Amino acid sequence: MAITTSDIEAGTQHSAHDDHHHGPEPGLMRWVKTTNHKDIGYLYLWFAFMMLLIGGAMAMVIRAELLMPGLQFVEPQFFNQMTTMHGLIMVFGAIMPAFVGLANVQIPAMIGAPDMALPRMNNWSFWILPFAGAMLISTMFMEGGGPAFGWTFYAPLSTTFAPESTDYFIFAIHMLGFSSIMGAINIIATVMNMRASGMKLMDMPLFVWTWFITAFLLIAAMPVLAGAVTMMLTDRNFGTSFFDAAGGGDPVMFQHIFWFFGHPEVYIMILPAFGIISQIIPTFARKPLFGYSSMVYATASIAILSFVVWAHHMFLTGMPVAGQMYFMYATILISVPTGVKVFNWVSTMWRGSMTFEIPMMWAVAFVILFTIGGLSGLMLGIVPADIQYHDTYFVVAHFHYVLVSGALFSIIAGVYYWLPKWCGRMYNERLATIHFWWAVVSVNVLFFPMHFLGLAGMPRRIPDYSLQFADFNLIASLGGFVFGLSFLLLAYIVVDCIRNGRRVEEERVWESAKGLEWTLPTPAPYHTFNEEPSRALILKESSHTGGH
Amino acid sequence: MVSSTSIKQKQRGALLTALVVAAVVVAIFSLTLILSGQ
Repeated sequence: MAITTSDIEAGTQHSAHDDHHHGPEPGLMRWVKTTNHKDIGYLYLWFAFMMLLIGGAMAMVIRAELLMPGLQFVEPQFFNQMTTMHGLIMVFGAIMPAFVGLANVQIPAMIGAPDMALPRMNNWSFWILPFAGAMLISTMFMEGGGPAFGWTFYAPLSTTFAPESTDYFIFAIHMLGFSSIMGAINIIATVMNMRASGMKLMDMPLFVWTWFITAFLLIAAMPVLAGAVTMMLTDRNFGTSFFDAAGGGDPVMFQHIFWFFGHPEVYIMILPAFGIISQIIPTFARKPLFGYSSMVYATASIAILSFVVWAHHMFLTGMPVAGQMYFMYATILISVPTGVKVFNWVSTMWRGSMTFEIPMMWAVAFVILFTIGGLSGLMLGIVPADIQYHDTYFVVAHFHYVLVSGALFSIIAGVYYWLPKWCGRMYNERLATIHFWWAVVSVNVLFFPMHFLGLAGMPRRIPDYSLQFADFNLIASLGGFVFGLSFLLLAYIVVDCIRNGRRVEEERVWESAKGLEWTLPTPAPYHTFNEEPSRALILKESSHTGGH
Repeated sequence: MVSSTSIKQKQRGALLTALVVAAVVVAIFSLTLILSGQ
């Protein structure tokens, strides 16, 4: 008989005499009440996609306003709301939930577990999100408008001078953080306690490793964010002065607290991406991943270093030179483990029997474009250079290369890689190829000119600009509109795949794919591993111990 | 095949892990407030 974690967690007290098989509940209630890791994962992914479209629509407003110098379409105050909400929605509503979605669907399948460790909490983690997201977006319809202080919500802009709706923003951030923390607890408990007994830690696929480390980052960083918004709340409503100089507080302390969360947050959004790419490249290079253990140690090093570099976001707040030197060198140090990863991916491809299926094309694009974003990050980490670049479009170019052509591209790569496994159907590869080139060309047209704008001195978060910035802004805006449209094609490709795609029945959808998830039937069964995979199978399916 | 005992044992361990991690979360949150108030 098959006993799943959901059965036990849901308190149904199944025992050996109860051997009926559980399938999904019919109707919409399946999605409300589900404790199944794949159902919840799909919910996360669809939610993330909806938020991506909303945040993307806001980006279109920003790029429309910046199409030409002068005020075109929106008031400056509304423009500020757009930049703020775009950032918040993309970070907390799109990228993070998408990675949690992929973790939910994939991790139990990759470690030979029946489900996540705490399925009911998993359901709760997800269902908090739509309410938090709705509350965040609803602030824009309140008197005084929504948050307009940037996604970094620096005090006193977010305390003394913020609109009334900020209290709802604070509540939304609390709920989003709560959801993330519960998701992280679930992932840690699943990886530590639920993986097949034959799988040692150093047998785990890189996607599981990177998410495991990311979960610890979430555990350490999200409570700090919760602390920051709690202090904002009390400063605003209960007469405290944490961030108010007039009452003995310190607004710069807000920046320290925010970036103590904010910098690890950057790695929360990129470490799982490293994991996805580390799954895809060996499959299509037909070689074991080069330097598996160095990949694990590099991921852990990046995670640890991410907590000791936060003040590189604050070089202009007037810190002592010794502080600037320390944060500069610590920041530059991160390029060592990151470089290890990039070289390992390239070494995996080196002399491999490479083919360029859709996921591989996205993975290669990731390696190149993420490296560009990493290099501009290195430039920003150098104090004298940062004094010049700080708060300019160079910063905007940098973090969009890392988060869009980095994190987002890896999510798209992961969806193209695992989607046939999930639904048992293959997408239209011709359309997917068009989508790839459409997105890769337009994303560069959108973000590359921003480097030049930043170097020329164009500040970020402004609705109007001097005439000398007009040409590059026009190019970036046109690239932005074209890139934005590419997501409608992605939506069509995914829906078309699920409804009409060519049926795939091979367990191993990609012939050279290694990993326990590829030993499951296609489409993936509702309950994952009811029978624990053997040690021999785990070693055979390992992508790094010569399974190829 | 995973026996129900094995799953139950795993889940007990998972609950313990979750409780410990949740305690760490509460501690970090409290420390953030306490240290910021110094």
